[in-house]
Order: sequence, then C-alpha cells, then structure tokens
Amino acid sequence: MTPHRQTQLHQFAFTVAMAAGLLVVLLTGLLVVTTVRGKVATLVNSKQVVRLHDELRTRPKDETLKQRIRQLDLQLRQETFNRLNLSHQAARALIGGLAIFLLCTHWTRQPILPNPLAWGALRPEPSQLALYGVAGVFGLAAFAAVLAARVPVQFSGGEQVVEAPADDAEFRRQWPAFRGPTGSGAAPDANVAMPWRILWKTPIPLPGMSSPIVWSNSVFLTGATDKEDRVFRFDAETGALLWSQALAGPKPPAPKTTEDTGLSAPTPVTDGRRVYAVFPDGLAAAFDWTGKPVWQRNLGPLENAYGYAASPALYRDRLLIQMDSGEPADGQSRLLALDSRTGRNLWQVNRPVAGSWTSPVLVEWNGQPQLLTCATPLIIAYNPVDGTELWRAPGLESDCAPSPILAGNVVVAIAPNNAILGVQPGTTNVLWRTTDGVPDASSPVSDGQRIYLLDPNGTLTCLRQTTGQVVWTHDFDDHFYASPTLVGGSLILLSRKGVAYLVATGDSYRELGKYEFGEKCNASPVPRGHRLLVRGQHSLFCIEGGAK
Amino acid sequence: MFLAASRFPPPEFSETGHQLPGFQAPVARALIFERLDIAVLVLALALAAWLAFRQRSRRGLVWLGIFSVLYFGFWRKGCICSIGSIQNIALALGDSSYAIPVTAIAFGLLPLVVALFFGRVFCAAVCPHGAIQDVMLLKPVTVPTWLEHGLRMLAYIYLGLAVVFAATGSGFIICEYDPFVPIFRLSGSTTMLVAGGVFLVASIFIGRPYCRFLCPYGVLLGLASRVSKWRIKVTPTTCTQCRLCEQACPFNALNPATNPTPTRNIATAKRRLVGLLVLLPILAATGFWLGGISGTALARKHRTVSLAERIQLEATGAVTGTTDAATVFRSTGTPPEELFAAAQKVEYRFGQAGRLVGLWIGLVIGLKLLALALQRPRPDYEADTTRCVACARCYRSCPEELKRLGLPFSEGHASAWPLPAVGRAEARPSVL
Repeated sequence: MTPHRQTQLHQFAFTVAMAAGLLVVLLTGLLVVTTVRGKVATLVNSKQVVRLHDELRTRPKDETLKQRIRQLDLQLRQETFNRLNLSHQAARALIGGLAIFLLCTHWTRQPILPNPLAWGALRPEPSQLALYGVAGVFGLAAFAAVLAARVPVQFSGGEQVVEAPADDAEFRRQWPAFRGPTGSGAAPDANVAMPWRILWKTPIPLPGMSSPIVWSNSVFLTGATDKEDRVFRFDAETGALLWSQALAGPKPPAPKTTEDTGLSAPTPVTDGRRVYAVFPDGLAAAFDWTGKPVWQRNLGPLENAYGYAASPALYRDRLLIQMDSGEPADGQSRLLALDSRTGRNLWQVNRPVAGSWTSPVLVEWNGQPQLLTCATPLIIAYNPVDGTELWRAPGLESDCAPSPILAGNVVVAIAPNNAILGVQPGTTNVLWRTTDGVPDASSPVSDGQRIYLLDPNGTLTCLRQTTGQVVWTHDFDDHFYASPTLVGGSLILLSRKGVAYLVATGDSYRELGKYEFGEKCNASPVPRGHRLLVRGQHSLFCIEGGAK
Repeated sequence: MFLAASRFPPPEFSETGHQLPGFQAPVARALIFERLDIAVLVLALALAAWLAFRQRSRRGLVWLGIFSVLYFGFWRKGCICSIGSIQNIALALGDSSYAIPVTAIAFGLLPLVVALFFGRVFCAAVCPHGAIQDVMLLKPVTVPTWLEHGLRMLAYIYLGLAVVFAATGSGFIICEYDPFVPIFRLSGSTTMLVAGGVFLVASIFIGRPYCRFLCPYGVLLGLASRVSKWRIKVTPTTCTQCRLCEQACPFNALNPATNPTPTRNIATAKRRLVGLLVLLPILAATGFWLGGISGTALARKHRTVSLAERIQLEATGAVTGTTDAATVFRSTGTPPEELFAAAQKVEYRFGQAGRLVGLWIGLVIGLKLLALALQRPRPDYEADTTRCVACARCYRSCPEELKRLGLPFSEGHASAWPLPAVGRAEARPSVL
C-alpha cells in the first residue's frame, strides 16, 4: 500500500471514529433520557392511575371510570413497551458504535513511542509515600469498620423486643397513670370510709388540672404557667416536695386553651423508674426518680379547641400519646408511641377521627393488651406494641372528653350530649345505648355490675352494666369535672367547689358522707389503701380515712 | 439497555374472563453447553499462554480478548465467570448442602492452575472483564505509585468480604456489584449500569481499573503467579537496560532495575523494617478486633437477619409500611422469636467470620508494608509477577524483540539503542 493510500485510509478511519464517537455520545444521552422518563411515568407510580383507583373504591360501579382506567392502563403499557424497544435498539446501536469507534481509533492511533529525550530520573522504588498510601487504606477500612459497628443490627429475642417495666405486677398494684393502671378509676381493695382527716397538705407550686399519680412513696404531679412547665415529686408519707423540675429550654408559645382545661391537664404516668409528662404546648419529657431529665421532646403544638387534655398511657417501654385535633377529614389526629427510654418515635398511626379530650386506656382483652381510644366518630382499639388497629366501632358524636372504660365484657364509651354506648370489644356490636345521664367531662366507673356516670351539672346516674338500663339517678346541687372514683364499695365524687361526696355502690342511692376541702377541685382523686390524694386548686391533700 | 427496570402488575382482566398465562421458569441449560464452556475456557487459556509466551503476539491476544468478550461476555452474558466462581467455591466450603456445579469449580480453579505455570494469562485475553477494559484503553495515564499501591489493597478487602458473604449464604456480592455484567446483558439496575459506564470511561485513561484495584480473583491469580514456572519477560534475549520499555506498561506492572549502589540510609531502612515487623502483629490484632465488632453489622446482608431486623423495625414503628418479605413471613405464621433465634445464629457466624476477614486485611496490609520497605536488588527490567496481566504490550518496546522479529526500529528506538556499555545501570541518575 502506498503511503498516500495509507494516509487516506487513516483519514477515513479517523472520520469514521469521530462519527461513531458522536453516535455513542448521542445514544448514551438518549438512553439516559429514556431511563429517566421511564422512572418518572410508569404504570406503577402513575399518580393518575392511583387517583382513579381511589375514585373507583368510592364508586365501584362507575363503568365510565373503569373504562378510563383501562384506557390509561393500556396507554401506559404501550408507552412502557415502546420505551423498552427503543432502549433495546439504542443499546445495541451503542455497542456497535462503540466497537467501530474503538476499532478505528486503535487503528489510527499513533503508537506510544519511547522518548529517551524526555527521560528524567528513573521511577523510584516505592517510597515512604507508598507506605502511607497502603496504611491509609487500612485506616479507611478501620474507619468503615468502626462506623459499621456503630450501626448494629436492630433485632432481638422475642422476650427482649419490649422492655419490661420495673415490675409488671407492681405496675398494676400502683396508681401509675390517670385513673389507675387500667384507666378504670377503680380501687376495689382500697378503703377510705369516713370520717376523714387531713394527714398532710402541701402547696402545689404551679397550677394545673392534672391528677396525681402514685408509685410507692412517691406522688407525682404536673403544673404549668405560660412561662414554664414543671413536674413535681412529693413524699407520699409527709407531703414534702422532693423535687420540682422544669422542662428545659424556652417554653413554646402557650396554645389556645380555656380556663377549664388550663395548661397542664394531662396527668403524668410512671413505670417506677421514670416519670413521663406531656404538656399542651407539645413538650414531652421523662425524669428519673431523682428528678434528673432523661429526655425531652417537642412534639409540636397540640392544637385543640378547648385545650389539649389527653393523658399519656404507658405499655411497658412505650409511651402512648393520643393527639387528636381537627375534623376526621383533616387527617390531623394521630397516635404516637415514644420509646420511654430515649423519647424517640417508635411508631405513629393516623387516626380518622376528630379532635378529642379523652385519654387512651390500656386494657387487656382475651389475653391481649389493647389501647382503647375514643373520638368522634370511632372507638378504636390498637395493639400498643406496634400500633396495629385491632378493631373499631362507630357511633360516637360531638366533642368526646370522657375516657372509655372496659367494664366486664363491655367497653363503655360516651358521646357527650348524645349517648352512652356499651360495645362488645373486638366487634362493632353495640350491646346497648342509652341517652340518660350522659356526662360531658368525667369518665365512667364500674363496680362490676353497674356503671356510674356523673354529669357536670350534678346528676349521678347508675346503669345496669349488661343492659344499660338506668338503675337510679341522683341530683347533687353541685358541679363536677373530676371523674368518680371507686374505692372499695364506695364512690368518691369530688365537686368543683371542693366537696367530696362518699356514695355507696348498689342498686339504690345511699350517701355515706361528705367532706369539704375548702379549695376548688377538678382533678380526679387517687385512693391508696386507707388514704386519698386530692389535688386542690392550690394544695395537694392527703386524706386518711377510717376502716369500714 | 435499562430493560429490567420496569416491573408492573398484570392488567385487570377479571371482568373480561381473560386468563393470564402462568409463570414460566427458564429451562435449565443443557449439560453439553456447560461442558462446552469448560472446553472453550481450556482452549482459550492454552491459546493465551501460547500467544503470550511462545508467539509473543499482542495482536493475537487482542483478538482472543475480543473473542472472550463476545463469548464469555455477550454470549454467555458474563455468567459463569471465574471471578464470581470464587463465591460458589466459598459457599460450597461454608454450606455442605450446596451442590457446586462442575463448571463453577472448573472456572474457579483452571485459571489458577494455569497461573501456577504461566502467570496471569487468564487476565490477558480470557477474562471478558479484563479484555473489555483492555480494548477501551486509548490514552493511558500513569497512576502515582503511592496511589497504585494503596488502591491495590482494595481488592484484598473485597476478596475477604466476598468470601464471607458467600460462605455465610448472604449473597454473591461480586456478581451483585459487577459493573460489566449489566453491560454484557444489556440490562441491569441503573446504579450498576452507571457504574459499568464509569469503569469503561475510566478505562480509556486508566489501564484496567477494575482488574488492578478491585478484582478479587486477580488477587488469587497474583498470588499464584508469584510462584509461576514461566514468567513474562520483556526481552526475548538479554536486557540491555535501554529503558525503552519503561513507559510501555500502562498498568504499572513493570519493575525497573535497581541501582546497585542504593543511597538509602541503611540504618533508617533497618529501623523502619523493625518497626514494620512490630506493626505486623498489631495490624493483624487490630483487624481481628475491628472485624469482630463490625462483623455483626455485616450480617445485615443476610436475608434472615435483614428480615428479622425489618420485622423488628416494623413492630416498633421505627419504619412505616412493609416489604414483600415481611408480608410473606407474617403469612407463614412463624413466631418472630424463631426468626430472631435463627438471625442471632447467623449474626454469631458473622462475628466469627468478621474476625477472620479483619485478620486477613490486617495481615495483608502489614505484609504489603513490609514488602514496600524491603529493597530487593533487581538487575534487569522485570514484569511484576503479581501485577503483570501478560497483555504483551511491552514486547514491541524492546529493541531485542524488534530485532528478533526483523522489524525496523522506530525513531525512539533508534535514538536510544544500543546504549554504550557505560550507559547501563551504572550511568543512570541515582534516585535511591
């Protein structure tokens, strides 16, 4: 071959190489664009398809809608396969173009010739720098190993999935939460027969509507102003204030609330190791037994028309906070579980309910723990471990404030100004429904055969537990917010004026006595053996009763 | 390309009565074709050795490489390959119930056996991964020596991890993160396709980046090549130390002759050597310890452990939604405690395996540091037995080779050869 001919061939090959290179670049771009487009719009992630399917669920017999879905489905499938075909062809052309490019480039490329004139020093033997390079890789590997070790696999044996509280049985013996360990407001083994005497009386540093809780010799209480939120621990024997801890940091803006709800309505809860408190401004915190802060969270403002009032519940290591607000369609209501040890979110479920003032109640049904919640329009039971909804029943209306109770085989739920429902747990089966004596604020209590309900305007109603029939009613010339508490065979009714009425349980009304605290009272009383703890407007009272 | 990205549900034909076709499993490959693969491998290895040692033909190796890319790459779609077969062997060693295919054994061992005699001729033109990078090399740049030595350590780490994951039944990470298989198959995850593209583009400038810095099989071949019977020699006769081959290897696999009168401070060099000897067990112990503490985190790769963790995270609400695996597990009714117990066993195994990998990495790094600190006299330019992939690029740079072939010298050759006797090692500028 003549040199001229060879030069011509080289030039041709060079031109072909350039053209092939350009083709490769263009095809790569085409594939990238096709891929991106394919990820944006597919049958799987098409928002239009999802929306139409949602519509179809509400109008399952809409043939026009079905037809639209089919057409869209077909269109998206055709687009997908067209895109795949295009990708196929482009990929093959890309490989071919690359092969031509390489062939021509290698052929026309000038060989790398040794250039003695440019010789410098010989390449040195691997020097100290190479040592550093190798050692650096070990350093990086070690760093990666340490990082990996910091993210251990998160699972454990079944028994360790949920950390047990200090003592499970002890939890049930104490009064660790609003209305007791099961939220029933009942202490059948306690006995505070009249006459009563004040064992001690201690000023409460900050106001609040929350009720006391008791664990062994400790009484916990919360209080708040628009400047600070505080948790208090008192000595149950002497009433001495053992510590008073403010939540850290600047207090979030005080939420809108009414005077009747205040800034500290939720009752704290304890597991014998730590005490947990939630405030309407959204702050939640845990303190250990010495008052040392364990964790603190800001859950955001807990908006609520009359002020946030739901007390948290505790299931082993899960702090369960019911946060209902707005209307059911607003999607604002939720149930949140925090890790009691760290305060981090464990799970959260949205609740299709309106704003409420009820507290979640932890009960056991068929050997399974259930968290009962009430808010318009649903009674919903959740698995406290993972938030799974166990069952729900409709029937609630208006602003729900009284918390539910499990009385025997009946869940008693109250729709204020409307009705009292007796629902069979696990079903939508409403066993009974009555409109007599429906309370607005206070929660019901059961003596095992009868349900007692206290209207804010002073009407105490006794219902048959199995049928919901009214057994008797009694009108007090007084007003009540505090929920009635069952102590042995008696009911303690604490009026807003600060008068405690002791009423015998049974098929007829019988008043056993009354006691005046001299302070307004809104919180529910807490029975402990022969004693009763009562939060007044300014003071915490410890009453000792006589044995019957 | 990008073909396997879309998966979507079947159309809803329930109202039209259309019967969807059932799932079809691909028919197993006929045994004869598996034997054919082994036969092709044997022939290709023999041909590569013949071309590299006997013929000293770069062109022949290039065409053999192209054949390998077409056959083992595009035709066999990158499977089975020797690199991945390490994992089959590791799994067979770790799980006695695994029946390893003969093809996997053959592809895993044959290149190693050949390497014991001829060095890395498998890399030269039989491995499709190496061949596709080799043909892409257009404008080689020299990787700094310190970086070269450091990056080469990554392959040892990768090998250790791949063996652990395979032996524990966690997965074949070499295949999962193979950047070239998606190209051979014209299909794969976007991430790996992009990775493949990046490696190909890098191969234009950096000679065989995957082979040099990541290939776990290259580590084994390199170790086997250390004791190979026959080795690549740049010159067919006697090295005149003309230095013309110095720039011929784009893979930094050519070791220059050493200065007979090294200028290194002997006392310093000795102190360094002693220090590195002391460091060796420290590195090994550190690796052992780090492997132990991080091994359980690696267990997350195992499906049992990942499922246990998912079940746990879902149970505690740390994650929202669920996965198909979690849904299927729940549908079996198996108590989570059983899953957790099984996962804990796997985790324990990973803890043990992690220690071994850590020990391996510590030892390899320590020995490498020692090797770098040792200065061995080398009278001639030599292909590094561990690193040389027998690509035959350096042959034509040697004037003795041109002389043997009866080819004319290039301008560069002519100006530098033959050097006078005084122009040999003694006359070179001293850098040591």
